[in-house]
Amino acid sequence: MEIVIENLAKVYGNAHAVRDFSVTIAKGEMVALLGPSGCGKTTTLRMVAGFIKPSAGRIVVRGRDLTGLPPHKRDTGLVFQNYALFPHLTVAENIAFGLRRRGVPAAERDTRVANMIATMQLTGLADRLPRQLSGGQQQRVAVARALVINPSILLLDEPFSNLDAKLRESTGLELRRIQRELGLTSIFVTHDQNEAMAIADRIAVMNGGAVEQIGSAVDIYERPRTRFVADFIGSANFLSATVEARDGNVVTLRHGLGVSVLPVEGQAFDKGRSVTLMVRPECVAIHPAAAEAGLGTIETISYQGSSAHIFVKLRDGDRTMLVERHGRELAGLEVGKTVDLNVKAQDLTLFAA
Amino acid sequence: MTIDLKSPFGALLLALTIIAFCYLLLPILVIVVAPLGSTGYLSFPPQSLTLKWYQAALNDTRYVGSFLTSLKVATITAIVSTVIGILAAHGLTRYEFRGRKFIEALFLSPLILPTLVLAVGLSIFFSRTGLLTGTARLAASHVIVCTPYVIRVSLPVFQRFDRTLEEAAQNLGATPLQSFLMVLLPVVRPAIIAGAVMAFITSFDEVVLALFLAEPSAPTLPVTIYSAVQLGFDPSVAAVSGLLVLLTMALMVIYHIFGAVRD
Ligand SMILES: Nc1ncnc2c1ncn2[C@@H]1O[C@H](COP(=O)(O)OP(=O)(O)OP(=O)(O)O)[C@@H](O)[C@H]1O
Ligand SMILES: [Mg+2]
Repeated sequence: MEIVIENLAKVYGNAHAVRDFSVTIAKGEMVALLGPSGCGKTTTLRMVAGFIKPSAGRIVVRGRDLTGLPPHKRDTGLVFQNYALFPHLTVAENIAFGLRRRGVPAAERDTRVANMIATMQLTGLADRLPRQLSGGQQQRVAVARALVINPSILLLDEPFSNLDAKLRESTGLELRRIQRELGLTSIFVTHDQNEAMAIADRIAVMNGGAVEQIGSAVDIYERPRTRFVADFIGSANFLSATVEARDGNVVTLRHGLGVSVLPVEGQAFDKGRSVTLMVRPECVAIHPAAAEAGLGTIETISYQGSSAHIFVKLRDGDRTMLVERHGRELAGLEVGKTVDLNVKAQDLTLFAA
Repeated sequence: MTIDLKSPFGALLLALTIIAFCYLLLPILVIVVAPLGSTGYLSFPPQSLTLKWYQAALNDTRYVGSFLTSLKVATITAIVSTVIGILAAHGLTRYEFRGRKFIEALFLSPLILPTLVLAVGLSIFFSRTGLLTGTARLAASHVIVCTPYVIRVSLPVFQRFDRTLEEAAQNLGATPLQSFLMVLLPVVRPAIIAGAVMAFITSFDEVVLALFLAEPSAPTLPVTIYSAVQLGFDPSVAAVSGLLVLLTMALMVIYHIFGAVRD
């Protein structure tokens, strides 16, 4: 394995910034650290770069244990959130900095810098100072500076957060293309789930310093392992349910939308237990219903063009369900109308308690 | 905000500005211009113009010799106090230790130190211990006075320095020393130059410590001027002062060329 991080932890006083973080990353893979503010993403990344000394655990890159090494001996390329370009050096000098430190001969250095300037579409800007560049250009210089040294691992701390929304997506995909081309192993930090899902091979969802789940975007969206992950990634409807019957590994559940039969494992789902079901808004079917027969009434419709978010207040209790429909499929659905909701068993995710 | 200088308020502002500048600059003009008069005493405006007093000043070995002494002392002082001041500012902004806040506040507050007391104390100290002689003795004393100035000028700049720049350098393979020399120092260069110029001028201009601690055989320029003024006032003394004003202006120009941020 290219990168092995084992049981990494950081404790400040009695606060656990990162706890028991383990992941193995294959060559050329891009892993996103995703989580809410303060969950330990930056701390993890800075431990890999060597700026924070871990309280426990190991970081092994290409079989070399980096844990005790100072930053300048680690051969990691870090792109800082604020870019951290050297203000007194030109674009070309900024990019050449790491090559100079490695004693790369002048001729080779110049070629590599020139190639990198072309790759990152910075042609014509080589002699500018950082403050004479736009935010997007600065960001590309920061990436170029980290890439040109051929780091054994590329680390990015919220590299797109200072860019506007449009530029963010194109820059992200561009970075992804270059990272693939160069076969760079990479970890990037973000609190933007769309960015993580669009760019990363795998996503590590973090919460309170710990990893809740690591998996592909599809994995964590369709098969979230914890309630936190289900809630944090995309939108989720949670329903409380009771186990009505259990027959081997098949349970019958009663919930606000009816009865569903699901396969399960483990004792948390024995007969009589209370459990939680999760269903994504786009998996809920909605139909107009006769006033007495319907499960709930439409409270709000938020039209967003390609889709619409429909908030339905359930008749029993005061739970509100979020239903997503195509923007063109709203016939018969109006605020105040009574509706029926249906879910398919295969779209339900089951959580103990 | 722009102010219309033709409005009553604008006119008043313009007048006040002109008066303030005259108040600040006219004495300097007098110092430079008065020695151009041909009379044997100072008068302003000068009667008929001549360069003879300037010539006399430049030909007087006392002035030239003590100028060179001052130059030497001020140069040593500027270099030593700049190095110490920068390391101190770096330490104060980079490391956590007991009393750090106190030391920082001490250097950032207006410094009050009666030079006369310091001069007496230092001359007793040096004559008892026999440490350092001649120019080195005076330079060492000036370093005591000038280092706080350097720290005061550079501390806020070091505080504002973005530490991720040094981290970026180290991430790219620079040792901590290399990142200090190649990233931190160039970025804070304006502050360093300002501190060095200030130390230089302060040392060059200093008279009390120099009176007590300079070798009697090699006085500094301010000491020579001081004794000349005491003995009687001939315009060549004023010419020396005029030359000093010009030198200071030259220094300020150099400072602006090299201290200014690169554009
Ligand atoms: N030097 C420190 N001393 C004490 N606590 C710290 C220190 N640095 C970070 N922490 C704490 O560790 C936790 C994780 O911080 P970290 O910066 O890694 O979060 P993050 O996931 O990057 O958040 P964000 O998305 O806001 O950047 C936070 O609760 C933070 O308060
Ligand atoms: Mg962070």
